[in-house]
Amino acid sequence: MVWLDLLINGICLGGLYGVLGVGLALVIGVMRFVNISHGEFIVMASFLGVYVSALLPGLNPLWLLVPVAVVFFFVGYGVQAVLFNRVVTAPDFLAPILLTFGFSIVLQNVMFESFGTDVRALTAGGLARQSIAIGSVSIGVLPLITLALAILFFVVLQLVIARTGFGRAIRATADNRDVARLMGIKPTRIFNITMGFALALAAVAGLLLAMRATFTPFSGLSNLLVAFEVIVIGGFGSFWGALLGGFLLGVAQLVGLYFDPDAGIFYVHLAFFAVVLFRPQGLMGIKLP
Amino acid sequence: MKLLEARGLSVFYGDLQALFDIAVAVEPGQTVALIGANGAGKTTFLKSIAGLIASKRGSIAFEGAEIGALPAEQIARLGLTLVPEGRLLFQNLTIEENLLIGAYTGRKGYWNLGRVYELFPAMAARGREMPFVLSGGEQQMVAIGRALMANPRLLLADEISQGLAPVVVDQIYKSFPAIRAEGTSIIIVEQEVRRAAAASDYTYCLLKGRVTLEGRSKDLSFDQLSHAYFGA
Ligand SMILES: Nc1ncnc2c1ncn2[C@@H]1O[C@H](COP(=O)(O)OP(=O)(O)OP(=O)(O)O)[C@@H](O)[C@H]1O
Ligand SMILES: [Mg+2]
Repeated sequence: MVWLDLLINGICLGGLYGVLGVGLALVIGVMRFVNISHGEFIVMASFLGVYVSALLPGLNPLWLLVPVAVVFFFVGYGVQAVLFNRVVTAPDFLAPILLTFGFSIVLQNVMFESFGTDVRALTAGGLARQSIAIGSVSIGVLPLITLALAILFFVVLQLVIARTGFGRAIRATADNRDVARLMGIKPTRIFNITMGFALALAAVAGLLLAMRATFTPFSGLSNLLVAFEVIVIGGFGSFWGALLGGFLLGVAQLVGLYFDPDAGIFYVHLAFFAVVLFRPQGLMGIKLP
Repeated sequence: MKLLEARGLSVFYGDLQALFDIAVAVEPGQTVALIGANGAGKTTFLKSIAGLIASKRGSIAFEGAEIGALPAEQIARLGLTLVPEGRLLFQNLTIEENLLIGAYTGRKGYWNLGRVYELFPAMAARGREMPFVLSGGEQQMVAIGRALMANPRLLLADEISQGLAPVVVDQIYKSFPAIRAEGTSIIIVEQEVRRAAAASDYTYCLLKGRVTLEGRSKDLSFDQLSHAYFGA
């Protein structure tokens, strides 16, 4: 029963990891652009959550998900339009990496200056302690909500991309920018909206993460690492792969912690390493020739 | 008023100049052929008209308005649509989605999904398949259909017979009268001189980035054409 317990709670945590990765995957898939500062945006959302919660004591932080996601949509749109679009089409592949790496350092220091290095968390009140017992397995209500939200976001994202006219334009732009322009699609606008979606997802991840674990202005890097591991494990460009990758990492973390309570997220990296070693194309990726 | 008028058009790839002082005009309703050997600059001309190449000098007027400085996505909205060389269908979109995205500009007119399927009936049953399953000729039909979905005033067709069997090419050229009948003018880029002359009202011949011959297609002799084509 311990195993079942670990598995279910690992999957709940993994859903969150999936959300952590899918925004980054979306951006890489659509604009071949690696946003090194993705993790810092996740932390900024956590800070925004803590800040607003302090202003509105007693409010369940789950209510913040939608407004914070909306705010971060516009932040993403703006950052892409003002900053990132300058290098998206740069012939030098280093330009986007250097820009977003530099930007991540700027964001870290802005957060450090504004909030200091205190370890923070978002208290979900009674919700954090509630759990449902099914047979002998007990599942936390908050992790369950997290999982449900993660699946909801994946389904919605998938539907938007696969079924809507806008999603069609996103896929066309990802395939061939110039031909997309011949259709009347303005790639930079697609990129702005894509980054908006990506950072909205990052914001959701940031809030949910802050309800589970503590963070500091320097937590961005470990978020980025997990996000990368999720999408590499999933197989680049595969949305469902990212969710699956998240599940695997979540289960690995909880199983690891059970045997080795001081391990932190060491076993997450170990699982990542094992997948890369034995299945380098990722779980759902296409095997490279 | 001319539908399209390019004057003194020079186009550059970095330090390399690909087109020199080109003057090309298209009257409403006309089909214009652009012929020339490999590397003559035909694709460069079409791409610069469509706005995909920014580094250019001279003027390009479309329906009387200067479009030389506009980006491709804005030119597309004006009703100037390019069928690119090599078809370049979106590989991650189904055949039907490839057609639908052609209508992204929302331009109204005769052409819609049903009408494109009428024009190329073989495609109608295959809308849910991915483009890679299609033969070259079928891909070309989808590429033309995708362009028609924008209800263009001017259709630029770059080497639509490239790599296709002659019977398939015939089939594709048979769709042109229906396209013209809806008031769309066409520029066809073609390597095969005779076919280009037969399908067009007016012909331009390009050689090494310069117009070496132009005239009404039926007035040009094969000798004149081959001379201008090879520069011999
Ligand atoms: N992206 C590019 N960068 C640099 N030079 C280019 C580029 N594209 C074309 N050129 C050069 O410009 C000239 C004209 O090329 P273009 O593709 O327009 O010829 P074309 O007439 O379409 O030939 P083809 O029949 O082979 O399609 C050629 O010398 C070619 O090498
Ligand atoms: Mg060409």
